[in-house]
Order: sequence, then C-alpha cells, then structure tokens
Amino acid sequence: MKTSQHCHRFAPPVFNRRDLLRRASMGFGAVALAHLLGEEGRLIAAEGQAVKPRFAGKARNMILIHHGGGLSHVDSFDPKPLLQKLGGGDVPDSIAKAVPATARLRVKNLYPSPFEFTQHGDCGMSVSSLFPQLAQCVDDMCFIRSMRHESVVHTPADYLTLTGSLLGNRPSLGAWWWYGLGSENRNLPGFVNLVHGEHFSGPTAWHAGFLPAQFQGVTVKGGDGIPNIRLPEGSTATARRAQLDLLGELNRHHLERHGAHSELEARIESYELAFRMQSEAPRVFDLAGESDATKKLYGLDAEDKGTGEFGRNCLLARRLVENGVRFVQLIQAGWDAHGNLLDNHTKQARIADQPIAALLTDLKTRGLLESTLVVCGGEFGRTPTAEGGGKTPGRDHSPTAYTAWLAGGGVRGGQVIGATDDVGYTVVDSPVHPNDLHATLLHAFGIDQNELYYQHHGRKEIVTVLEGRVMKEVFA
Amino acid sequence: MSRFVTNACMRAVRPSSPVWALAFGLGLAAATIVAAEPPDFEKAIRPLFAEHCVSCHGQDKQKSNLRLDRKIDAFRGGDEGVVLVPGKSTESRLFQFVFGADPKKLMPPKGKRLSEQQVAVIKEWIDAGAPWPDDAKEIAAEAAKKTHWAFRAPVRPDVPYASEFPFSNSQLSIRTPVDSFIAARHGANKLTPAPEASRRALVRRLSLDLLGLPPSPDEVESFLNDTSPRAYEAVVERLLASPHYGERWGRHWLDLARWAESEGFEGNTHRSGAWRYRDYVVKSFNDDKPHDAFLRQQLAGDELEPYSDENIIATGFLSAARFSHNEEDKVKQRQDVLIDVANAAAGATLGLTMSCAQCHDHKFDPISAEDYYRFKGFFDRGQMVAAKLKDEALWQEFRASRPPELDAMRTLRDALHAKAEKHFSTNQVAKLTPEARRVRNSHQQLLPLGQRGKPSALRKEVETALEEGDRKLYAELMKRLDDLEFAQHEEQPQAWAFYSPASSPHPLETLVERGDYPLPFDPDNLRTHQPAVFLRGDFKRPGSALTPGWPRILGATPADIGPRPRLALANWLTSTNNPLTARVWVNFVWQHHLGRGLVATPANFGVQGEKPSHPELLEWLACEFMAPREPGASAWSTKHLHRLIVLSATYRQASAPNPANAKRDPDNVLLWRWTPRRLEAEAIRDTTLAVGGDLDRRIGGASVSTNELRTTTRRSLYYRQTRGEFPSALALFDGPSANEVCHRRHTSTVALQPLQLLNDPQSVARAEIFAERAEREAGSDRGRQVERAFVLAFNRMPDTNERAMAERFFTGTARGSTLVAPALPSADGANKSNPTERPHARRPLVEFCQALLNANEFIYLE
Repeated sequence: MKTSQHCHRFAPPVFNRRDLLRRASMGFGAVALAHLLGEEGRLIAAEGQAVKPRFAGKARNMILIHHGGGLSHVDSFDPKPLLQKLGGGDVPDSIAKAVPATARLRVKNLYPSPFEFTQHGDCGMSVSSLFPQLAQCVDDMCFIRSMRHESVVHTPADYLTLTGSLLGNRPSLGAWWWYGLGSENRNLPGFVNLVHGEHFSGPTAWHAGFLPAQFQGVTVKGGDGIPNIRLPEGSTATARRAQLDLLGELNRHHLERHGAHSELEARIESYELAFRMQSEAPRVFDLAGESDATKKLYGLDAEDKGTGEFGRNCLLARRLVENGVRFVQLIQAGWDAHGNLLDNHTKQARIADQPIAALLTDLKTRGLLESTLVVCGGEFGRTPTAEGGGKTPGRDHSPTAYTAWLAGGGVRGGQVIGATDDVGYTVVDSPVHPNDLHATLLHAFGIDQNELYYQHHGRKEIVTVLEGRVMKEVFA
Repeated sequence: MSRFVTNACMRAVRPSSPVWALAFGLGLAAATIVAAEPPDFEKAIRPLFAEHCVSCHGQDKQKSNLRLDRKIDAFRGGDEGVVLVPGKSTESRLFQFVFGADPKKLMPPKGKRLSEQQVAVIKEWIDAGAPWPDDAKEIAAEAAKKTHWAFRAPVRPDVPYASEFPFSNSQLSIRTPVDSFIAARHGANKLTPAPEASRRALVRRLSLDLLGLPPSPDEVESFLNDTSPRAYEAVVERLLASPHYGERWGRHWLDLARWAESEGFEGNTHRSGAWRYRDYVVKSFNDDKPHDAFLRQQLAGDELEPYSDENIIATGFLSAARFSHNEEDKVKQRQDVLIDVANAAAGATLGLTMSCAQCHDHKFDPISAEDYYRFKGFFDRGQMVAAKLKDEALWQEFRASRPPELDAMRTLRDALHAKAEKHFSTNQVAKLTPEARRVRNSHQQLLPLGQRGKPSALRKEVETALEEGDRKLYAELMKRLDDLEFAQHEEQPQAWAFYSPASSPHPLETLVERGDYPLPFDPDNLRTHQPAVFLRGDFKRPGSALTPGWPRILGATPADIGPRPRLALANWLTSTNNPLTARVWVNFVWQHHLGRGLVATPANFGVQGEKPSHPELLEWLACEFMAPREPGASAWSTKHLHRLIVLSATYRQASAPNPANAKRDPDNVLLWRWTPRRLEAEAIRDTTLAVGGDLDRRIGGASVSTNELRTTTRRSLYYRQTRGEFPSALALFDGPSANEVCHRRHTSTVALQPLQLLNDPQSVARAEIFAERAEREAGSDRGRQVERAFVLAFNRMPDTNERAMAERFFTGTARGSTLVAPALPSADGANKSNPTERPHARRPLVEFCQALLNANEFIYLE
C-alpha cells in the first residue's frame, strides 16, 4: 500500500522568503512583481534561483487530459485477442492469482470488447473503433500500457493521478508547474483548468495544496474565461480606470506611512495586473478569430456530434498554450461504465475523439507540438470481466493495469511501453506508477524531480512524493 | 549436545544446502583458528558493507528500512526486525541473507556476490559479538536529539528587570512582563522601539485582532473620550467579554482541528450534527474554558464522567477526519481515519511532525515508527459516529417541530408495506442487496440512505407486489415521504462524534450510517481490536501488537494506563511536566497576535524547527500559562495569555518604519515595531459586512446552507464547511483546506483577488450597501460623505491629501473623464455588440466606497 522507495530529502529551512527578496536588491516594482508572479516561489524552489532545466527537455507547456471515471483500456488502446476468445469464461488461474482480492476485481465472466481493433500509422499501432480520428495520430503518440496503482476508488485514484498521493492534501500537478516554472504571460494565470462532464473529485484536482493559494488552477467555464473578468453591470472601462487611479493613490499614500513592505506593494501591483488581465484575457478566450476550418477540425461545426463543448475546451487549450499559459488541464469525465459499457464508451468517445485528435493535429501544424507535452489517461482502467449481466454489461474499476499516452514535448511517438497479461488484467512488463509518470513529465521539461521542491513543515516536498522512476525511453 | 541443537535450528532454515555446510565449516574453522582475535570492524567489516551493502542500505537509500552505515541503525534492524544478534550468527538475518539461506532473499540481490571467505568473516564477526566501535558523530547527533530544548519540560525563568539589562537604547515601556523580555533584546541589539500607536489605531487593532470585526465609530469615540488611565484596559476587557471574541479565536482553533462538515472525497456527504462542535469551540473560548479541560474534552469526551452532551460534542475534534465512502476495503477505510485522527491530535497539541514516523523512524526527531503506532493506539478502539444527544429539551424541540402530516404518511406507508409483505416470496427477499435487507429489517424501513438509494431495490419489490391503485399511491407517497424522512433524520439532535464502546463508560445510541459503503460501526470488533505497528506504513503488513503510549523521548508511559486510554493521553498532555502542549499553544496565540510565532515554525517544534526568537519569553509564558503567578490569573487561561500580550507595550507599538532598525533586524523578529499583516479571508468579508451596517450578529446554530451563501450577512464562520467547495472568496484569500492541521495560513497576492473584490456581484452589492449607509448618515454633502465613508471603513477622518484625492476623483467623474481606457468586457455584454461605451450607470459614490473596501488599509491589520 506504499511505494517501496524512501524519503531522504529533508533539509533545514534555509531562509525567509521576504528576507531573500529584499536582499535580492531589486527595485520596488520588481519585488512586488516577483511576489505576484510566483517568482518568489521559484526562488524558493531552488534556493535563490529559478528552476533551470538541467538537461535537454524540450517541453515548455503542458496539456493534461483526464478521462474522469476510468476509460477501459481493453476497449481502447490495449487489444487482447485472448479476451475475445474467453468471453463468458473465468480469468485464467495464472492471471487471477495476481489480481488483488478486492470485491470490485471480479475474476469470473470475462467480457470481450465490443469494439474492433485495427492497426494504424507507420508504427502499426492497434487502436479500437472508439478512437478513429485519434488513431490517425499514433505515430506521434507513446502509449504506456503498464500504468498501475493501488486504489479502486475514484477520488483517491484521481488525487493520485493529479496530485501524486491518494489523500488529496498535496498540490495538483498544474500548481507545481506554475510554482516551479512561473508563467510566460503576466496577463494570464499559469494554470488553467477546464472541466467537461461530471467530475468526481472536485477542486482538489486543481488546488494548490500546501503551496500558496496563488498557484491554484483557475477554472474557466465555457466562453466566460477567467472568473469575474467582466465589469459589473452598468460600469465602464473609463470609470474603472478612474476608480483604480483613486485606489492607487490611496494605497501609495498609505505605503509611505509604513515603509517598504513587499506584500503591500504586491497588492498595489495586483490591481494593475488585474486591469491588464481584464483587457487582454478575453481576447484569448474569444474564438471569433479562428477560421472555419479550425472550428470544423475541433468539431465545433456540428451540434449533433456532441463535440461542441469539449471541442471548444481543446481549442482553448491550444490558444492558452500559444499565449504562454504553462499548464492546461482538460477534464473530460463520464467514463464510469458500470453498466452498458457499449453505450457509455461510444458516447464518451464521440465527445473526446475528434477534439483530442484535432488538438494534436493543430499543435503540430502550428509547430507547437514540439514544445507542448500532451498527456492523457484516466484515474484507472476497467476490469476485463463483466459487471452486471444481461445484454448490456459494464466493467468495474481496475487500477491493476491501464493505459496512458503522451505526445509532443520531445516524446518519441509510435511506441508502446509496458504490457499487460493476455486478458489485460495485470501488468506483466515495466509497471509504471503515477509517481513514475509524474517524474517523467518533469523530465520532459528538463527538470530533475528532486530540484523542484517546496519546504513544508521542515520537509522538502517534491512532485513525486517519494520519487518516481523517470522513463527515459519515452523520449526521442 | 549443543552442537546438535544448533544444527537442528539451521536445518530448519535451509536443510539441503551443501554451500551452507561448507560455510558453516569455514566459519567454525576460522573461529577455531583465530578465536582470540575477532575480525576488526573498521578493517574487515565496514569496507565490506560499504562496497556491497551501503548503496541500498545507507544514507541515500534504506531498502527495507535498513541502514548498515551507522551502528545505531544497523542494530535496530529493518522492516522485518533485527538483523544482527551479537554472538549468534545463525540467528542473525544479515548472515542468513548474505549466505543465501533463502535464495529469494540472497544479498546482495544483484551484482557481485560476497565470496565465501567474506561470508565467513561476517559470521565470525557476529559470533564474536559483532563488535562495532561507537561512532562519535553519531552519538553526538543522538544526544543532541535527546537534549533538544523542546523535549524538556519548560522551567520558569526570572523576568529580566530593567536595572539588570542594558536598556539604554530601548525606550519600550514595561507594561507587562512580556515587555521586559522584549526590551532586553532591544537593548542588546541596539534597536529603538517604535512609539505607541495612535489611540484610533490601537482600538481598531484590538477589535480586529480579538473579534475579527472593526470597532464602530461610536466605540472609537468613546475610547478617545475616556480619559481614565485604564481606558485601554477597559477596551480589552470589553472585547474579551464580547461573544464575537469566541467566533474569532474559535476559528483559529478550527484551523488546528482541520474541521469541516463533510466527509471529503467523492461522496463528501454533509455531517448533520457537526456544527455543534463549532459552537462548542466558540463557547469554550467565550467562557475562557481552561485549555487543559478544553483538550481533555476534545480528546476523551466520551470517556469522561459524568456524561454530558457537551463532552460528546467536543470529540468532534477527533471526528473531523475525512474518509472515502466509496472504499470497499473496510480495514483500509478505518485505518485511513485513524491515521488522520492521530496526525491531527499530535499536530495540534505537540507541534511535531509525527506523521513522518508513519512509514519509518523519524529522520531528525527521536520518534520511532513504533512511537507513532503507540500514539495512534490511543485511538484504535474508537470510531466516528453520529451520536444521538441526550438532552431531553432538544428532543422536545425536535418533536414539536415535526411536520404534522408525517405520522399519517408513515401509517399509510406501513399499511401498504403490510399489504405488500403478504406477496413477498422468500426468493424476492433473498435477492435484495445486503444493505436493502438490513434496512428492511431495521425500524428505519426505507429510509433513503445514500444518494444512489440502495434501498430502491426493496421499494421496487414493494411496488411489484402491490395492486395497481395502491402502486400509484405508494409511489406518490414515498416521493414526498422521502424528503420529509430525510429532513427528520438530519434534524435529530445529534453530534458528529468520536466514540469508543470499549473505553467509554456511557452507552451511546448512534444513527444509521449513510452512503454507499459506510464506515461500519462494530462495537464487538472495536472492543477486541489490537493496535499494531504497520511495517512501512502498510496496514496489510501489521507487525507485533503494542499498547498505547506517547513518544518515549517525551517521557515514559506507565505500564498500565487504565481503562480510559485517551483520558490518560489528555492528562499527560495537560500535565505541567509535558514539554510541548503549553509551549505550542502559547506560541500559537502569540503568532495570531503579532503575526509571527516566537517559534516561527508553529507546526514543528522538533530538531528541524526554527529556534525560538525569545526562548526565555516562550518559557516564561508557557509556565505562567500553566501555573500563573500574576495576580488574578487562573491556570490554563487563554484570556490571561491575551491580556499578557495585548496589554504589553510591545503590542501597542506603531508600524512606523525605522531604517536603522531595519538594517539590524529587517524582519522585525525582535519586535521593534508593529508589522502590518493581511486579515484572514473570513475577517475581510466580516469587516465588509460590518462596514455596511447589516452584519447579522447572531451567534451559533446550524451552518448557512449552500443556497443562501450569496445572500447571507452572517459571519463567514457560519458558512457551511463543505470540503473542496469553500466559497471562492475564502479560497482565494488562503482559507484552510480542512484536510490537515493548519498552524499558519499563507498570504498570497494574486490578480484574481482584485477581480473578485471589484467585479463579483456580491462585492458590488457590498459597495452599494456601504455607499447607501455613508449617504444616509452624512447627508447629501459630498465632503461629508467622504468623511463618513473614511470613518466607517478606516475609523479615522481623511487627511488633507486624501481629501484632495477624493475631490479629484469626484470632479473627474462628474466632468466625464478624458482618459482613454481599453474596452473591457462587461456583465451585460455591452462592448461585445457595440464597441462604444454605454453611459456609466453606477454612482460615483459607490465606486468611491468600493475603492475604500479594496484599499490596503482596509485589508491589513495595523
């Protein structure tokens, strides 16, 4: 129930951040700005210096796509001919003995995949009929078929996948990225979160954990963009400017009475930043300037396909990355197919397939794929056995084996890492824990997992908790 | 004879290995030949370990939790126990491993094997008693851990007297003993204390600090007009007696208690009686309940005699733990809760990072994994429950509020069930889910248990069994009854409590658990449950059983702690010999008054924590807190602590800058002035409500439900605390997550905060209410409106500069500004369809008042 690695990254608290900033002898504005932009955090991250890539990581931005609920791997990216043959039968003993004894992990009544697998691309990768468009991108994708962990429950598994531990008390990946790498665009948050469908684990999946709240993901809904970005009803930009001028005068007058105070200065600066964000951010969220061809690519042209909202989120993800947002998280939830897997997965894949394929294609066309790491998976896979009987069986949660894939950001496409047994129940080659995947994601950015840390209660906390194994084979 | 016995033992280990016999022979031979001279550790053994073992069992890695580079660790052993038994190589696992007694556990597992000769040398060394010279550095480190200041009981120091210290440079008045300690350090560091803050600033500071609310203009005036020499003391006493004091300081405690009203994780079910714990905390602070009694109730309320509802409610501290409803592994579900409980209890009282020892011995503090599980053992036989309260008055009130139609509806339902029952076949009942069957068998028939309504299976059965007319009636009835029954269930007088049927002398009635996979309450299991160490924190690998106890470094646990383990723990925590409880609490209170703890790492008093800035002051406060000598003070009184601090000259200093001081002590660690600090999320909102004049000052009661969050004017404390769903205004300003003990909140500054305070409809509404009040109270004159708005928001009149700023603002807006501002998106979509601005419809006074509510002076405590 624990990983077998050991923690050995304790270090005494070195200094006080305010002190450090003051001694960095930057000017008034710089101190305030550093405070605001989270550069302060980066100073902490590496004892006085921003985290600098130590080796040739190609990724600069990240898009994480989360299939909430649990996409079935044996129905999508991990074909199992034996499963098709053994339909209705029991899981062979040799495999069943490796399946943990848990109510959900049934070993009777194997359920053959109702979807057909065909080979695609130069690499000849097998992908099921659920993802016909994504299948065209396999030469850019690296599949990890040997993901596994220890929780059969959605929320802890979500937490593990998106924050690195089952407990939900740690920073989300996006918060770590923003904190560690800063933002490239002062007028946008460094971590934007978009949710589609009913997501089980809520804001914990994008919160800041023990990092300062400024690094929590900003959830963007539909076309509104950033929360509270619009002026109140009846107000105008001119009036706002006048109000901010007054506020600035009051605050500077107040500051004179107290002397240098980085927090007070940062607050003054934050109002100017908010004003710029208000004038510039909506432009990023406005899709009006996109061509019809692009909209069509993402499936925004046809309402009946169900790709509209998620397609919009994927297109926004590209625009955000283009505008310097460090980390975009796209939650696409609804895969929890306990009953009627056929209907559920068909419907969910209709939502997901075209927009994700469009995102990869669009990034590539614009030359952004090289610097944008795309990672996609669910919190777990699903059992090869049936849940529920009758004509429309489902599958239960299964963390003992599932698939995640990566593309862009220096990833070598067209390859498969790891393997599952003959029915896809357990991992038989190169097991990969979410912490291993996270270590690998950092590696793509040229960051050693032990160099990005935050002092919390005297402990050097890192993204991967107790360290993960970097899968260097992922990269070209 | 003895040789045969040894042989037999060894055969049991690995009977058929020829190599074994060979090595044994070698070992014997070696021992025979050089019996008088065992292998020298430094020459023969350490290099061997260093080459073959330490890469996995050393400073960097400790596989199986074993280290072979340090004597103390090597002899302590690893996950599977001791590896070195001096004098007995065959019983020493280390020897068995390198020898390969079990080929699967052969060490080293890969790379170069040990030669037969090396194996023999190890054997010989162990048989000779495994002589390992003490490592001087290691001994010093261990000794330092044990003599760490915070692990020794505090000793009351003398208060420094002015005549004995070089006070020449310090003009700090000595108002309470606190000042003597502070002034002594000023003198020694050539720091000039700031003058006393203005009386306006002081009354505002006191009110925000003690109540989390600003003083009213009248309160300020009456203080300014009070010429008595004890006017300041009178204000302090008035504030400490205010019921709002408990709301403010109770909230600080709730941070430590990681308190919320929902289960957490995906179910995140609301806990109906949990709000009573919040009210209990508020009342305890208002009553100045001695801190020792406060802790005893919270840690052992169900064990205390005589019974009281309050004691049960107090255990809400322990039961604020989270758990996942969807977890089918009941052992894991329970253990996750117990770990949460143990971490919170240790974190809030001892200020140690005990949780580090969950998987391994603590790296820096002398706390072993065994210590951790002994501590957790205090809680092992308890459980989170919804306990029915016993106060008859509450039940009368509850019954009186029952909807009149309920009884008739229940009678009708029972009649329909009776009809259906006749048609039930045994077969049908057998098909029910276990939960549906249990519900059917209980008196709680058909109560809607979780959101997904597992008993629906039973309900379908009933519907099938009924005739058509009855079926429709039944469906209609149950739809309405469900809501009523659910509300009834939730509103029963109950507490979300921690209860042990094993150690509580009081039988408690508990309410049926909700959720899909609730935490089972099994009194028999709890009574016989044996606490154990979990190897590497894995509950699936329990080690030997243990008895509850506190960390050994902090004192010996008696062999028999009696039948009430948590009471024994609470009594130990609150004994005057306990080195940590008082220090941690005194430090926490100090931190909330002055912004920084005397120990700047309030969550870590261990070896790696920061050293106290004023060690003697911390000691003195801790001792004075437990056993006061100041006149009129009582033991463990938190209000006594407040008085010692807020009456001090240290606390009354102005925040004026001083470049000379700033050079010597840039962070104001030695307290030569007041450091302004941001108000907490709750206080920012509450102060805004107070300034608008429509703050709802009612104390206590069930939390404000989610659909009222945007309209309520009650204090933020009463927002329903649903984990992961805190209102954005609180989350944005660093409100706690309620997932773990929070000793100190962050202060982050981010552009989304201005957007929230300027554009959120609620913020806009607050500005309008404030502007209306200013206008109502000042009349139509603009100058007087400005003055009134300043007085309400900042408790002072505007100065000349500020009057000029206001005038420029109002003239500018009246003239229609010539400023060129970029188009901004508006809530009414104005600039979307039409790029030219619509006329500005908001009143300038509202804009002005909103600016004040956004000002640093408003948000910062100074």
